[in-house]
Amino acid sequence: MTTIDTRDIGGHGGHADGHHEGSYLQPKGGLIATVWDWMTTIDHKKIGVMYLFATLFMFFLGGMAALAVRLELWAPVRQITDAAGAVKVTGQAFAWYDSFGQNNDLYNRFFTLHGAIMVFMFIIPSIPAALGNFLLPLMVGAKDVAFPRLNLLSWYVYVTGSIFAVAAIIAGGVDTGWTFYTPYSTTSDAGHWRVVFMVLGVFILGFSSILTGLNFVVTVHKLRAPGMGWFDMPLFVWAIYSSAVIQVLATPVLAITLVLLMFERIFNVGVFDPRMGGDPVLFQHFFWFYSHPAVYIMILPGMAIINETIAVHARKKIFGYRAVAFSSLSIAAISFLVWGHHMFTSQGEIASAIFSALTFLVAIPTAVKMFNWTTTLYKGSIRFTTPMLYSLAFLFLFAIGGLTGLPLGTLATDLHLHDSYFVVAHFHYVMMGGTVIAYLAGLHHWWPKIFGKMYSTFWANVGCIIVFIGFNVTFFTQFILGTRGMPRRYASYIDDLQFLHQISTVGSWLLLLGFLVHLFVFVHSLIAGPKAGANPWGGLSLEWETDSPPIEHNFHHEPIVKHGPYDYDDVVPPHCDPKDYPLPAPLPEGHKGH
Amino acid sequence: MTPDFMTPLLASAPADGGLLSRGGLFLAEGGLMDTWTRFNFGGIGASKFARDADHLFFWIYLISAFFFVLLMGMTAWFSFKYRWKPGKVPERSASHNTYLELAWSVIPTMLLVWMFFKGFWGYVDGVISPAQGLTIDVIGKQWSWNAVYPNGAVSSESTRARSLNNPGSENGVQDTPIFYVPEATPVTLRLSSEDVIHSFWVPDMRTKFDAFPNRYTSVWFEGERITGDKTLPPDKKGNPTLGKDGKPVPYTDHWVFCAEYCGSNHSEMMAIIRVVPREYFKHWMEDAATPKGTLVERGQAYYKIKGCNACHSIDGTKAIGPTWKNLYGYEVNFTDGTGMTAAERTGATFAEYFKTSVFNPGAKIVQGYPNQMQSYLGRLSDEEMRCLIAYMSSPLLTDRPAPQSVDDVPENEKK
Amino acid sequence: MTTIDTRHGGGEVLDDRPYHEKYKHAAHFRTAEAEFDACKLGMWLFLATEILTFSGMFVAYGIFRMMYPQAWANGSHYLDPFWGGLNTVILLYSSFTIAMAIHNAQKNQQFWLKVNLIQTIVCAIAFIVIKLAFEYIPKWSAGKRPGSLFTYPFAENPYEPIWWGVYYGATGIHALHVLTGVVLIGWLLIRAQKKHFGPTHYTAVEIVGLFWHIVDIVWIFLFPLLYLID
Repeated sequence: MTTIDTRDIGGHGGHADGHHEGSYLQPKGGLIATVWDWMTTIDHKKIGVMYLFATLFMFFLGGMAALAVRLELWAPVRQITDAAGAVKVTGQAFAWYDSFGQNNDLYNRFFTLHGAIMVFMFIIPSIPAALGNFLLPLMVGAKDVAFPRLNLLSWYVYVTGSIFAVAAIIAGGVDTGWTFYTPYSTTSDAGHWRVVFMVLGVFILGFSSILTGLNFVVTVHKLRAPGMGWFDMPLFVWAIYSSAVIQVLATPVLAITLVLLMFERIFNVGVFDPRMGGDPVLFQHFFWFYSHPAVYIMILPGMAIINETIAVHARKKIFGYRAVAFSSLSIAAISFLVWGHHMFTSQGEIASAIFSALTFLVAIPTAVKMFNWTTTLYKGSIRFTTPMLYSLAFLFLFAIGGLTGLPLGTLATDLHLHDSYFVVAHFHYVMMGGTVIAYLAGLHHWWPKIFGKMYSTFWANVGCIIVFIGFNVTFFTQFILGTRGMPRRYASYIDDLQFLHQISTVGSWLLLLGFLVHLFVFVHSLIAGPKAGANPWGGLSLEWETDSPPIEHNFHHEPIVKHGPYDYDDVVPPHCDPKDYPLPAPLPEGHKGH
Repeated sequence: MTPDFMTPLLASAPADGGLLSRGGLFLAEGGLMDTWTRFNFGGIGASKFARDADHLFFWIYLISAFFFVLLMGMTAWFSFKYRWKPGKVPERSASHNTYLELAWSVIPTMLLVWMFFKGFWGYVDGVISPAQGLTIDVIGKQWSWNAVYPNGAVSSESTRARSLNNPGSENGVQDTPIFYVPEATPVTLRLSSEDVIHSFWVPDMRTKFDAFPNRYTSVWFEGERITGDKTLPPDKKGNPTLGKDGKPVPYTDHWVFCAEYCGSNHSEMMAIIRVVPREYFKHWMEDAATPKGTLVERGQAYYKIKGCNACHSIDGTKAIGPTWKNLYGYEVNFTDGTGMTAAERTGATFAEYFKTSVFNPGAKIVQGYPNQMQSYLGRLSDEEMRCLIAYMSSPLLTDRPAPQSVDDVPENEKK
Repeated sequence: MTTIDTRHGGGEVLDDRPYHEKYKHAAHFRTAEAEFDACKLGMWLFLATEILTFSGMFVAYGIFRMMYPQAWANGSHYLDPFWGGLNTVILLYSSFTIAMAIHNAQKNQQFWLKVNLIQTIVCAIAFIVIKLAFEYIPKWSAGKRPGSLFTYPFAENPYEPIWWGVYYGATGIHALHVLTGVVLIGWLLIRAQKKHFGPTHYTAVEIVGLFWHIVDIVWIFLFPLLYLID
C-alpha cells in the first residue's frame, strides 16, 4: 500500500534553480560559509536543531543551579561555638560572604536562577521550539512552517532574551524567585539593574514564544498535505497545536505584566506598590493568568510526544484518538480559567471556591489521556526501546504528578500544602517527570531522524533507568518533606527534616549521573554512531517517509496522505521489511475497521 | 546526628484515648489512617480542622492510590503480556470504545465533585474564624513575626532551638519568638505585614494564610487540650515557672513558618506557638503587657519586641545590619565618606545618631552594609527609644559603656 | 506577458510586468491564495495578542477605578475631551483612508493608493503631535506624572499618581502602536511607489490595514474610559 504520489515538486516556485535532494545537514562550503548558512537559515529543521542545542545548554545551566540548591540543603544553617570559643555559622554550602544573610541570598539567587532558566528558557521553548519546529512541518507533510523568516526571527528573539537574562545572572544574579512577586521584586536589590534585565529578558522571550506559537497554528491550518484532514493528523500535531494556541493567547498578558513591573521598578508607578495604593495581589492575578496556562504550554508538548512514542513502539493505534485530540483542546481552553488556584491563601473564599471547581475540571481530560495511553498498550507489540522505556517512566511519574494535584486543588487540604515542598514535588513530577522525561523520550525517538545516526540503546537504557531512580529519590522525599512542614524556598530547616533532605540531595546526584550517561551516549552517537535507516522504529507518520536526516526540502515528492498515522494493523511502515512488521490477518470483506 | 525519621510512627499515642478511636478499626489508633497520618505529617493534627483535613487527605490518597495501582498494574501487565517477540503477529483490537471511555470520564468526574465539595466545606471551616475567638495581631516584617495581644501585651520570649524534641540544642542563627495561646480556645490571628508579602503557616494546625502590606487577613485555630508531659522551663534567673496552683505548667509547641518567599532570611522567619492552660495564659498575658525592670532590661525586651533582632545581632556576628555589640563608644565610617569618632558615638550625639538611623535609615549607611532598613517613624515611642539607647550603652553591649551609676564617674579633686 | 530580452545578446528572460503580477508565492505554499490566507490568519492571531495585551491595561484600569473612584473622577477632569475627541475623529478618518487604500490596491488604482496611504500617515502623525503638544508635555511639566514622579501640588486625592500611571501606561503603549503604524505604512508607501501592489498581490496592504484598525479600536475604548467618565 503506497502512500506516495509521484508528482514531482522539485521545480516548483522559487526553487527552479535545482533539486535540493541532499541532507539538510550537508555543509555549505567551508566553515565560515556553513556557519553563515546556519545563522541565516530559514529551514525549520536547522532552526529546530539550533533550538535543541540552546535549550539543552539552558537545561545544563538550570541543572547546575538545581544541584547547588540541593547541596545547600544538605545541612541546615546553624550557629555553633567551636572549641576555641569562636562563634561560627555552619551548614552553608556557599559561604562566600561573612554574613549568613548574604549567604542565604546566594541560595535565593540559585533557586531563582534554576526556576527562571528552567521555566522560561528551557521547558517552554524545549519541545515546541526544538522538536516541534523540526517535526511539525514534516508530520503535516509541508515543506516548511508558514512563516519561515518569522521562525528565524523568533530564534533570534529567543537568543536576545536569553542574553539579557544571562547578563542579569553574570551581574550577580536575581533573588526574586521566578514568579517576581511584588512588592518584593520591586524593592529587592534597589538601585541595581539586574532585576530589570531579568524581567526584560523574560519579556523578550515571551515574544519568541508568541511568534513560534503563531507560526504553528497557521502551519497546521494552512499547510497540511493533500488528503490530511484534521483527524488524520498525528496526535503530536494536535497537542502542539493546542499548546501553540495557549502560547499565542496567554503570553501577551505576561508581556503587559512585565512591562508594568519594569515601570514599577524604574519609575515607581505604584500600580503594584501598596505604599502608593497599588495592589500586589493584582500582580499575582496577572502573573498567573499567563503562568498557569504556561504550565500547559509545558506539559501538552510532553503529552504530544507520548502520543507518538507509545503508538509507534507498541504498534497500536492510540486508543480513542478523538478523545485524546479533544482532551488536548479542552485542557488548553480550561487552562485559562484556573489561575486563581495559585492564590488559595491570598484571596476570598468565593474566588477560591470557583477556582477550585474549575481546577478539578481540568483533571478530567488529563485522566482521560492517562486511561487512553494505558489501554493503547492492550494487544500491542511492545518493544522496550529507549523511547518506550521513557514513555513508561512518563506514565508512572505523570500519574503521580497528576494525582498529587488533587489534594492541592482541594481547598481544605491545600491550606496546609500551599507553598510547601509538596507543591515543589508535585510540579517537578509534572514538569520534570512529565515534560522533561517526555522530551527525553522524544529525543531518543527522533534522534535517528534528526541526525541520521543511531545511538547505543543499551547505554541509553541504563541512563534512563538511573534517571528514573534518581528522579524518584530526589522528589518523592519532597512530598513527605512538604506534608511534614517544609516551606518552599527555605535555605535552612528544622532538625527533624534533615534526613529526608539528605536523601533528596543524594537523588540529585543520581540524576546528574543519569544525564551524564545520556550526554555520553549522544556525543558518541554524533561522532561514531552507526548510520540510521529512514524508519528505524517502523513509524507511520509522514516524517518517517523521508530520509534520515531529511533532505533539505523535506520530501522528494509531495506526500499524499492515504492512511491514518496509526494504522499499524493494515499498513507496512515505509522503508521497512514486512517480515519485521507482520500485519494481523486482514479483516473479512465488508467489515469496516475501526 | 540522625534525626529520627521514623519517630512519628513510633510516637506514643495521645493519652486521652485517641482522637480517632471513634472511627472503628480502620481509623483507630494504629490503624491504617492513623499510621499513614503519623508518617506523612510527622504527627496527628493539633486542631479539629487539622484532623478533618487529614481525614479528607487520607481519602483522596486512597482514591489516588487505587487509580495509580489500576493504571500501573494495567501498564505492567500489558507491557509484559504483549511484549514484542520476533515473528509474533500482533492481534487486532478495537481502537475506541465509547462506553469504556465514558466510564473513565464519568466515574472520576463524580469523585472529583465529591472532593470539591468536601474541600470547600472544610475550607470554609478553616478560613472563616469564629466571631467569639480571641484575636491576636500578628505582624510580619522582614524577617520576624511579632504578636500583639488584645491588652497590648507583646511576646518577648524567644528561643534558638531548631527542634521541638530537643530544646537544648539552641543553635539557630536567629531568635525565634514564642507566642502563647490558650488551649481549647478559638484563637484568631489577624495578619498584616510591614513590608513585603509573608505567609503564616502552622503545619501542625494544617493552615496558613498570606500576610499583606495593604490588607488584613487572618488565620484561626483551636488548639487541642495539652496531652504531652512537657512543662515550662525555668525563667532566665533560674526560678521554676509554676502555675497558680504551684504545679509545673504543661504546654505544647507548634512551629510557625513564613511560607511566602520574602528575601535573605526567609528561612529564619519562624515562630513557635506555645499552647498553655487557660489559667496560666491569663496570668501570662497580664504579665507580658509591659516590660518590667530597669531601662536596660526593658531595652533588652524591646530589642526583641520591636524586631531589631531580625537584622542586628548582639554578639558581634555580622547579620543584615551592623551588630549592636560595641557600637556605642566606637568609631564608624559611612558609605558617603563621612564617619563618627569614638567620642561622637557617646552621649547626646550617639542618641541623635541612633534616632536618625531609626527614623531615616538611608541617611547614614555603615560601610559594608546594604541600604535595606525600613524607617521606624511612628513605630517607636520616646520611651522605647530611651530604653534601647540605655541598653546599647550598657556594659551588656559595649566594652566602653556609659556610666551606669555615680561610682562609674570619678569624683573631681577639690580645688 | 513575457518577452525575450535580446539586448545583452543572451537568452535571459526579461519580465517587465509590474511586481504584483509577476509575484510568485513562497515555495512552501501550494497556491497564492493559501499564502494570502495564511498571512491573514497569522495577522488575526497577532491581533488577538494585541487585544490581550491591552486587556491587561483595561483590567488594571477597572480594578483601580473600583478601588479609588474619586481619584479616577479627578483624573478624568484633568483631561480635555476636546483634544481626545479630535484625536478620535482623526483616527476614525485614518481607518477609513487605510480601508480605501486596500480597495485601491484591489482595483489597481496606483495613484489613489498612494494618496490614501499618505493621508493615513498624516493622520497618525497628527495624532502623535496632538498627544504630545496638548496632552503629555503640558501635563508632565505641571507635575501630573505617574507614581513617585508625581509633583502636582493641587492633587485632591492621594491615589491620583496611580491614575496617571494607568493613563501614561495605556496611552503610551497605544502611542507606540501608532508610531509602529507610521513605520509600517511608510514601508507600504515606498513599495506602492514601486508598484508592488495590485489586484493579484496586496497581502501587505491588507494585513497592515488590519493592524491599523486594531490601533483605532483600542483608542475607541480608551477615549471614553479616560476622558468621559463622570
